[in-house]
Amino acid sequence: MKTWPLRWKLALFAALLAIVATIAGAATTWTVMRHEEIAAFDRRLTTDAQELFRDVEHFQRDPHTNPSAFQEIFVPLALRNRVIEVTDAAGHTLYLSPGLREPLSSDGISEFHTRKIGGRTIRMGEFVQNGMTLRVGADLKEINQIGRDIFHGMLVAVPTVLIVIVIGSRWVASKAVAPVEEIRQAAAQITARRLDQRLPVPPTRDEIAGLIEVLNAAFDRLQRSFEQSARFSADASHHLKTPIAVLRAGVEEILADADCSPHTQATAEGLLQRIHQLNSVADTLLLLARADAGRLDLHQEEFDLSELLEGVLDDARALAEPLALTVESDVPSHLPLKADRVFVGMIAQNLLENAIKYNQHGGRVRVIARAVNGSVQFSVGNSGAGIPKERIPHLFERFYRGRGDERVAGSGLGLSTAWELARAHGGDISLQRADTDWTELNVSLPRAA
Amino acid sequence: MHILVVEDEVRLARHISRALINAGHDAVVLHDGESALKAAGETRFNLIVLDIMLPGIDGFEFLRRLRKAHIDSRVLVLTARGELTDRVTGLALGADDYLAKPFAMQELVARVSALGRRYSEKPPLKLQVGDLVLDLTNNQLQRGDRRIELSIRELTLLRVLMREPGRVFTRTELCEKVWEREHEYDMKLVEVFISRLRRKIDSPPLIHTVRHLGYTIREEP
Repeated sequence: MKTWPLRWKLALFAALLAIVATIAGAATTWTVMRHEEIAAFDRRLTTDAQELFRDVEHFQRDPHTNPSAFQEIFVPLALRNRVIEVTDAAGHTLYLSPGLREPLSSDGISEFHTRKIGGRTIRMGEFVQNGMTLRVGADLKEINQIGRDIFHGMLVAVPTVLIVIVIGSRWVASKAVAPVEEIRQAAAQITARRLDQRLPVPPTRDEIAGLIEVLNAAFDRLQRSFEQSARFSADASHHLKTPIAVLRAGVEEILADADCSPHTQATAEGLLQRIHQLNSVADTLLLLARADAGRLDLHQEEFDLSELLEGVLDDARALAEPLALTVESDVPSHLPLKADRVFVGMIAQNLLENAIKYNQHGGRVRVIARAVNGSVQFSVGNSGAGIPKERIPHLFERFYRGRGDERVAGSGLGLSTAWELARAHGGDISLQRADTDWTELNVSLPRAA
Repeated sequence: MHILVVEDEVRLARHISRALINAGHDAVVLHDGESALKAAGETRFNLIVLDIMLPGIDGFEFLRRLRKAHIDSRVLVLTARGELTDRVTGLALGADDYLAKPFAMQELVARVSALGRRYSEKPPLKLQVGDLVLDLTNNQLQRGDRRIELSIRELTLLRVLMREPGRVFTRTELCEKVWEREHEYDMKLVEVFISRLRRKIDSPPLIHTVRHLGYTIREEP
């Protein structure tokens, strides 16, 4: 139910509330009405009793009747269907209505009360006058009928009310949710490329207007930080690269000077190499900064991954030669891919460089590439000494070096950069095998990012 | 060539003008966009070497105003990598070429002279240096009667060199052209592939090392 649309949830809650309210209303009505009905019933019994006493008095004064004996004729016609018991002051039964087989047990209750007699629910009252005690009662069946009528009414009314409430509240909820849906659609339009757009604020001063103002303020902040990070990478780039350019120009000038000593030349050559390293690290850091800011612009183009891997493998074989490494490859002749060619090249280069760097003399490097469903995958394996278990979770962390081997050159950014670049394409890099004699990483890229 | 250098970093500007003057050009250095725009309007420069991040009017704005004022001087943009991809891709901003910082001065000089003679010739179908012939239609290489097989990188590298015989290519430039990025390993790779190429084609040598500068391909010496 958590995943239901808001308007259906509202409709359901409204319907449940309506059922509870209807039942509670009906119960209250029934209680009040029954109370009123019973009071009226008691008044009727009182009237009946008064009538009987009046008749008894009337007949006792009549010379034709025997005043000492109680006769059936005393009982008015209206009371013939009632339960009646008449006793004298001594407690002797003078009359029992035909519905009663035996005298009512004396329960000492003189007020109106309800009791069960022969499976029937009887409302009783006790009246005393002229030394006679009259107990008169009537079946409550007739007023119970009212309760049943209410119940039957509800059986019809509740579903009707329910249908009206569900349809009505769904309509009301749709009306209430409509502005929210509009906001959602408008907000979805505000993407990284169009961050300067804002949601239109309605002229009303309601909750929706308040929400839109809050959202717009959030978009303001988002746009500011987005622009800041963009400006940062451009500024950082400039302020790093210009001094490096000055350094390089100076060192190159020394190198070009034919008069300087061989020692100075050698020093300058070493410095130039360091400058290249510094520049390469700066490039990588700026790339990562852009990736973090979500501003890695992918220049997508169609190209053949096989061709790209052929070039990278060519480099790898050249680098592997002094280490006597065998570079094996199993790459199909064509692997079409739509991605940023330069970035994919960097991923492959980084992995192969690692495979060579962390290998041992006379070892093996193997590259396998395949098209798998909607993606293109290639794995790079090497016969290096493996990655210790505790280091595996940190493999893609920045400045983290798998073996902590200081003799291995590199910044420790290669793998994390490759990972960021793969992720930017909607792909991934995973560790396929980490044995003591074989390490294999697998790159998966969607055929069209 | 009459060249205007617009670069706010004074020392870098000095290096650039010195290198250009040594190469036989005549260079004027200015440190901000405003005065450079004024100078470009008054004097006709053959080429403007333009830094992108400048105080006041930046390089992008400078280019826009320059083109609006119908000044058709060629422009070589100096940029720290990352500035370009963030704001404009390629050369859509109206520059004729761009060079990423840090660059080798030799490369700057080479690019500058390349801009002086650009867009004249049609792309050839065959490249030839001495008796070395590279057929661009099928990537077949022959030295005299001998067929030579090349790997993909060797082929790309040779093509770059043979397109401009006699021109000195720095390692960085070759890296950019062949490997499409600069990397600590690629510098070493340039040397490895140059020596492979030499082994395959040289006798007598065609690929020459120009000390501290780079490599060139030419017939003699």
